[in-house]
Amino acid sequence: MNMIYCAECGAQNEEGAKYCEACGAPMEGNTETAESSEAVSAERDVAPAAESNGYDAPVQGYAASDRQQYRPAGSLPPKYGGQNGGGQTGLAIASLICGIVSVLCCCTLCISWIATAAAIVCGIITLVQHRDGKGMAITGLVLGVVGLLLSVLVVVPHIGILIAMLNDRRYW
Amino acid sequence: MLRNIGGNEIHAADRFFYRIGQVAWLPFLLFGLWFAHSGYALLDGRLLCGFRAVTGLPCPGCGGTRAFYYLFRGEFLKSLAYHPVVIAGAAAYVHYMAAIALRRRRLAVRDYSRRLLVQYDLYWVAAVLMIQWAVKLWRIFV
Repeated sequence: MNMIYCAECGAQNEEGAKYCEACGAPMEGNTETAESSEAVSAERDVAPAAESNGYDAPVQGYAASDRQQYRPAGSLPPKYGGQNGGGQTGLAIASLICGIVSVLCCCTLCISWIATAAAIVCGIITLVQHRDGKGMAITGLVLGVVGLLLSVLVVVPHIGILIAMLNDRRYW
Repeated sequence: MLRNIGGNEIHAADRFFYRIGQVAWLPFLLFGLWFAHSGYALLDGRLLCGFRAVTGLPCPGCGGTRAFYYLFRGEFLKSLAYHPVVIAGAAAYVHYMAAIALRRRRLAVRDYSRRLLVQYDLYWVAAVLMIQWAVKLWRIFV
């Protein structure tokens, strides 16, 4: 079976695939076969003869390996599944789920604090590393912070009681 | 109503959650039936809300245990009244599993163009959670 390459990300797909397995871009009329890609890369590898103009600019051509340097995940338009279609959505989904658990269990301190920490960490990593699922990460972050504030409201009065007990010598 | 979408339209994360949904429904159902039959009685009023004890206000999760209990007793309106997220979560699960099952068979009600489907159900549950809490607080203060 001939393999075809996605023109958007360069991933290998089976002949006849309608959408790229890696990035979700439509494949119809937008592909390179193994033979045509080698012909194109051979043509691109030949450096054009440049006239000297006193500036020694490096001449660059496209090597076959350049096909692997596809756009970062999430940069394709949503129509082709670029948003949340690239595949790096695990942390964003985890952030949202943990955020929901954090708010739901805000009075169960152990569960809430673990879920809050997971929601915030996963959300921040998603946003900092520009992974897919920005909306889910932001929502998970917000829910995690809300859950943290609610659980702090539960703890604070008990901390006051604990401090009062520590200061009262009758308890020593 | 159902349209033929062709091709492999399922996101990798959707395949993962679909597998979890296929495996988890039976133990979850058995636990729910046990909880409704005898597990809830074991709690005997010991489950207290720390947030309500401190502030006097209901937390976003208040009523969830009773809603879960009434869901598996078959009293869906009571379950919805105590905490809508339980019913909303069950509906989201059914919707998600049906949507992925249809896509596996190259059919769809709506064409999401290979977008991640689980996010829509998660957003729905989060929205119901916050809205129901806001409504509870509004009914107390107004």
